[in-house]
Amino acid sequence: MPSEKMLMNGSHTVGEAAVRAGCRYYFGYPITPQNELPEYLSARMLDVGGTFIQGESEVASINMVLGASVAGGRVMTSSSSPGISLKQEGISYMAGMELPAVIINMMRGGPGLGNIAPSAADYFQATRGGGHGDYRTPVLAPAGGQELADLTFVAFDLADKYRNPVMLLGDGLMGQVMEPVVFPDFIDLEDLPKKDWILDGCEGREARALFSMLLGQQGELYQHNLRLQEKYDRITAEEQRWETKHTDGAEVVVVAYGTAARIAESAIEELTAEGIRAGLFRPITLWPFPLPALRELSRQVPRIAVFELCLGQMVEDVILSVGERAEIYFHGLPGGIIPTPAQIGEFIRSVVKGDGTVGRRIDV
Amino acid sequence: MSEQIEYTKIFSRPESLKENPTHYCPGCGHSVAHRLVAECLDEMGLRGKTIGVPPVGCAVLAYNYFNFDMVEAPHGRALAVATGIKRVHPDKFVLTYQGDGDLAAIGTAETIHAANRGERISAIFINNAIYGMTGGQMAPTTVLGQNATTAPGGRDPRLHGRPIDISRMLAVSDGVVFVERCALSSIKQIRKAKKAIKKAFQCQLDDLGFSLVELLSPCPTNWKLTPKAAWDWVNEEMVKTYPLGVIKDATGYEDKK
Amino acid sequence: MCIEACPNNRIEVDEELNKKGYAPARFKETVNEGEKGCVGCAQCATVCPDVAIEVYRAK
Repeated sequence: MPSEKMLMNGSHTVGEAAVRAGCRYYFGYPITPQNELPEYLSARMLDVGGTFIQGESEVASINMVLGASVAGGRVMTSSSSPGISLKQEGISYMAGMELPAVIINMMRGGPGLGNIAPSAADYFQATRGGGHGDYRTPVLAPAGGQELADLTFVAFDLADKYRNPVMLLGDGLMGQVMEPVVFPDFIDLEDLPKKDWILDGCEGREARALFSMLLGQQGELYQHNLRLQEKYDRITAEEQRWETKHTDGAEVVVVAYGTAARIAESAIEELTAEGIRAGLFRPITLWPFPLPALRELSRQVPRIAVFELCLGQMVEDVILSVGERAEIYFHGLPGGIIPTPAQIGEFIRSVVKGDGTVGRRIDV
Repeated sequence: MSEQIEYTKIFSRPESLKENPTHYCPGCGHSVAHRLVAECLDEMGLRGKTIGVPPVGCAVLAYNYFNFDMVEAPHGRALAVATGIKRVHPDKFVLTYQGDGDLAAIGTAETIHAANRGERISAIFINNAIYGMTGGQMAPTTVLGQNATTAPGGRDPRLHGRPIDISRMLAVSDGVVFVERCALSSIKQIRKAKKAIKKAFQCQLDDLGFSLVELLSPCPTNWKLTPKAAWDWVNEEMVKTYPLGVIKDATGYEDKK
Repeated sequence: MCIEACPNNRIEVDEELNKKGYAPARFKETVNEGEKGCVGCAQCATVCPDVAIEVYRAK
């Protein structure tokens, strides 16, 4: 039975959803602004007979995740931007070895130590690998409490289905939202498909070895990478997610995700009252980016206005999708600055008027 | 006169060791260490429930030689990976097999904390005082005056710092119940090493805590010595920096002589 | 290593090279006057890095 409607902090929501989705192993290190998540799980895991370890670093934590994944568990870690940088080695290894895991990134201002305010400057890091090698990780971008819960379930399912690390990308604000949430029912671990590749002792079978090093001279690594790419192509074909609002007949469509999308949504509501026909295209999977859907939309509307909480990362995927089919405008705020809906309204108005007062036109 | 004499085989390849010939250099300690680990697992009936984590180093391909479940770990992270495995399968037997760079340079934090948490994991630490796989650079355990490609002219305390004794450092922690240092450079020491490994494994089986066996290991290739001279160097020189013997024993086991 | 380890001098270096290009060790089948034969102490096998030796003891 799904839960009753609960009012819950965003970080706690992710933790509760993970536990309900069958996660029994969490390894993480404190970093603002996501400490509420490990704090929540340090108690909640005990309730369900799971394991919680506060590792000695984000590096240690991601490697504990690797070990628990290899052993067959549903496992999660979480961090924020600088800590996610530390995890890249482990993520690359897990992608190479095809290991499922869920990684939560509650982004903060950067680069370097930055600040603890919500920012969205890790889009490149999340969608363009972050670690070394030819690999991809699905990236999910929730835009509210209910989505934090629902997409956590999706993350675990995608991770297991494709044997890949999956990232849930939030930010400091998402971590703190207090919104009503209805949680899906607890997943029965017995119902999950059995994994025939895990390491649990070779009694009764051949010994297994899992590794990502392929030194052979017969093109083994080349073949392996082709296989991985085939997997990523399947994910791209089948797992794109996005949401559109008021895009029919719009004179401008805002493209934004996560917290930025929530602000844009409020701005759009206000502008609609003024008679400006503004719509919203909200990617939910940042990888695979919903390129075909946005391309199709850009044939029908004259202007695309990209709004990001950084100086321009997703906009590159928008350019790839839209090309010259519509005018592309960009407005971004780095360093954890969160604008008001009114300020974004200014941007949208400026795009419609073409006066360049807020943001800028992208030369494609 | 042809009497049929009956023979029993008293020494052969353990089941936990595959038939694949190893790639290790002539006189390398890894082969003996692999065999000892395999013999102990066989004799204690552990092969079917063992999950091992090899290092990044000369033994990176250990899964081609050991006949039990193994998973590669990023360099130095073996004890964190082992922690994840053991927490999912507390009833299985988890060991790491690591070199000096893996365990005591890049992996120092993971080593200290897994040990300090008292993880029920057994670590086999192969100390050859050099970085083998990458061609002879200085290791954290390279001894003073010893030559290395990144310490030309020999290790100098001012330029390169002193060698680290990670085993003694680990012994300070209450989570660590057994640490012994043996060598692979004489028959007597090899036999002692096997006993130490068994004892370390028993610690895990008895849920006592973290155990580690350090094995001083000859590296003829990177020391630029013959195998025999490499054995002598361990026995005469290396033990001055890394004395052999039990470093910590909080097991309460009574040793059979 | 085995040649060093054997207390009874039962092992010698082979004249023929093996596939890897080394001259490996070879067990001496004939026991000469004044020599002891193999006593099955297994010291050779204990030190062999290649697990190349199996040892049998008479019952």
